[in-house]
Amino acid sequence: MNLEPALEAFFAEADELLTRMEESLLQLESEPENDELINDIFRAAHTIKGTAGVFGFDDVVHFTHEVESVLDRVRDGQIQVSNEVIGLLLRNKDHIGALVRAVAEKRELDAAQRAEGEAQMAALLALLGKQPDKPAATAVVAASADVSRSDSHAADDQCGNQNWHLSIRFGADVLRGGMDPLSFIRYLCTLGEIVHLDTLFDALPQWLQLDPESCYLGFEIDFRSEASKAEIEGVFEFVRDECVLHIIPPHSQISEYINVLRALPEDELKLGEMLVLSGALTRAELDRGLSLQSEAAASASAASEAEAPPLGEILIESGAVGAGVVDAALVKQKQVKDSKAQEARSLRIDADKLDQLIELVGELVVASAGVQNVAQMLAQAQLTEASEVLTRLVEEVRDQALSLRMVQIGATFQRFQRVVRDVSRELGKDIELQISGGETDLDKTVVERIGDPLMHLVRNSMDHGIEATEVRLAAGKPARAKVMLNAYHEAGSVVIDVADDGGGLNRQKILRKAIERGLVAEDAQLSEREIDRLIFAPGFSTADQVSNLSGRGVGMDVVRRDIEALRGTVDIDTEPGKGTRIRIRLPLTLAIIDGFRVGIDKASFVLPVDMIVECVELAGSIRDAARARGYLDMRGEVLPLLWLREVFDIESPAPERRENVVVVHFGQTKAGIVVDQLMGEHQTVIRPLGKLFSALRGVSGSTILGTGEIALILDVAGLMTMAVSGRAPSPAELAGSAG
Amino acid sequence: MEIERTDDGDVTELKVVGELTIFGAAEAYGFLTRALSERRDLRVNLAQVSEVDSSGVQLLLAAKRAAEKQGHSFELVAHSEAMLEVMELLQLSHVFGDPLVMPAQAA
Repeated sequence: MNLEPALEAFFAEADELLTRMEESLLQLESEPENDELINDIFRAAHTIKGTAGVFGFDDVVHFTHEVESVLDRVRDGQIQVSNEVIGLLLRNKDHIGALVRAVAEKRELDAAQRAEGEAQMAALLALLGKQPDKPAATAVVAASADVSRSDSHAADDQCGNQNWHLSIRFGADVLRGGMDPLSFIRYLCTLGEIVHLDTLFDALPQWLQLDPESCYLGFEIDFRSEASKAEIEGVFEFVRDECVLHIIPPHSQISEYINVLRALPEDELKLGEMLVLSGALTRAELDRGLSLQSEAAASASAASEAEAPPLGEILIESGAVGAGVVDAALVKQKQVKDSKAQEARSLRIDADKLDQLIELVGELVVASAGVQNVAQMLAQAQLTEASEVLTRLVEEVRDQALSLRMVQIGATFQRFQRVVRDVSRELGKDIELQISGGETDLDKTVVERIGDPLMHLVRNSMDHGIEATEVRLAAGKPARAKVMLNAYHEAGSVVIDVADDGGGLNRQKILRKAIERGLVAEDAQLSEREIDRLIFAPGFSTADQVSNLSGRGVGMDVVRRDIEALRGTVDIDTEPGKGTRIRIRLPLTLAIIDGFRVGIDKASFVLPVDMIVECVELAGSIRDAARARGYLDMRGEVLPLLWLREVFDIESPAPERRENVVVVHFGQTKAGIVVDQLMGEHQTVIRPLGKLFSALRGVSGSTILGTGEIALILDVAGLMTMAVSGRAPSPAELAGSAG
Repeated sequence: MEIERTDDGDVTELKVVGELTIFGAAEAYGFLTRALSERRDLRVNLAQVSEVDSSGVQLLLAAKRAAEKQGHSFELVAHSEAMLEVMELLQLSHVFGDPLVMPAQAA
């Protein structure tokens, strides 16, 4: 027995809810009239409060309660949606996050956080125009005591009860799930006062049939509170699926009580005893309610006796009246079932388990490649066929397994709405964030690790890229600047663009700075592209003013390193006066790729299939010409060539008759890689190279072939930089981290 | 959780020490099952109970029912503060029917 899984679920849920709250708040800023958004925000805050209450996280409950009160007033239109209110609520959201994290990490808030919390609390209370807590508590108690004894309201169908009536039956697994029904009752007490409570233990079996870890309890509660039905329901949100809960509002029709009682699971429950004992109804009300429903029944008066008719009997007796209700109940039940089925369609899985699965699938891929190898060697028709079926299935399993790890990048993008909002305020610039391609799938690991570099790029765009409003207006641009995030798939990789419509890079300034810092020689002749790329050089910063966002000189080179660590590349495209676009290209997945095996002498290398355009033969006079010029005339296009043999310094003679060129493309450029043999497609499980080789360029990893041999996976991007630069670099250059 | 057993004439006294919660529910169930099988009057001393949850409450209720069905008494005595809090929250005193001694500060 432990609470950890339930807590984990709470923390994950709180995270999601806070994210949703933030998104809705940001959207609310542009659509202050949208009630749906306000409701959404309210629900998020409310659910967090509810579950936090169940776990007894009082700090979270206390703070969130006030936030919820403000939201409630916003919902009622008593508080206007202004930028200040939204600003405060956004800060509130951050503070709730801080409180939840503190609980999760089992530590106290630090002084700054506490001060922030107190400041926010004061602002919230000021908005509510009140001093904290319980203005009329004593009055409530007095009134409720009065009400529960009152018989005088029995004149109409409404009952005199001013209390809520809650009827709860907990599911058998509640305790095993780490939840204690008692804690829900305790939490309920924070919303109001329990006037009367009956603990029902009719479900308790005989001693020997008892399972001490199952829950058999139910409660009938009369509850005095100003809270709304949704709030009361919210108390039980965490066990909603595992309990039967009926909530009857104050002054309900008597028939409503009867309906609820019918729905209760206890067959032998004594109707009269229950209702009167709990104080929900007076005896007079009950008698009248029953006689209305079962006039023809012989034992109408028995309701008030200990020998009340069983619940089922009453149901039948009053069948005519209740038919509609029963139908409604059935429909309702079906709806509940349907919604349960909906929920079951998505599962939360521990990421570690997924990683283990993928690792196993990786092993499976290698093993099946081995089988295929053997099958080819034996050249036995049946075996070949069987192994091909196996290979196809393994491929499907691999794709499915990998797709499990795929998540949409949209959630990561959405987070930047808040960043852009806050930063644009801070900088006094009017900036909007445009997001597209949020549905693009990406490996979860990549998504997790792309957040920081993106953050840097977005901030950089806002800080350095976007001009001050006056400058924009003077240049004839709209005052409101745009920062755009876009993602899409292209040739086996994912492309993420961070673009702005700002001033573009100031090349003169960059060059001057680079010379100042000794990054380039004073007389160096650099192309525009080369100048642009200087901003990725270590220790480069051009901001005239160091703001607290960026401009501390640890910027773009860190971004580049982060992205390269993900086997990605980063490119920059800028037009003075128009804007800048930074393009990040990332591999789809980090684990398994479709590879194409090529050979030099006895060594095997693997290229990602997605990057290969075609393969051509290199022989005869064309070969001699290509050899001499270093490029190939491909249907009138110049295709730079790279001899893999030379790149890796393999000391064996090139084959006499012919070589092969694998034409690869990456982004906008194409290049040819010259190899001895083409060996066909091969599923490749990528294994990272050790730390020792981290500086090695041209190779991104290794893989084990079915035969047990090792093949190096070629880093196409790295190789292409070499090929395009038009020279065959020496091994020394390759090994260094030339950048 | 521990349960100490002493025999006081015709009555078996079980003294529960520690948490009477789901964590020890199976163990407590085993202990009570043995005690019930002896068919003697039972007295449960709750003075040392530090925490009670729903499982503890229902276990006591079930044991009481089982004992009384056998025609033996089942008595709760010396409720600890934690026990009293739960008894009050769930309004159980009339269910168990045992006299409760309220601590002075709770009044």
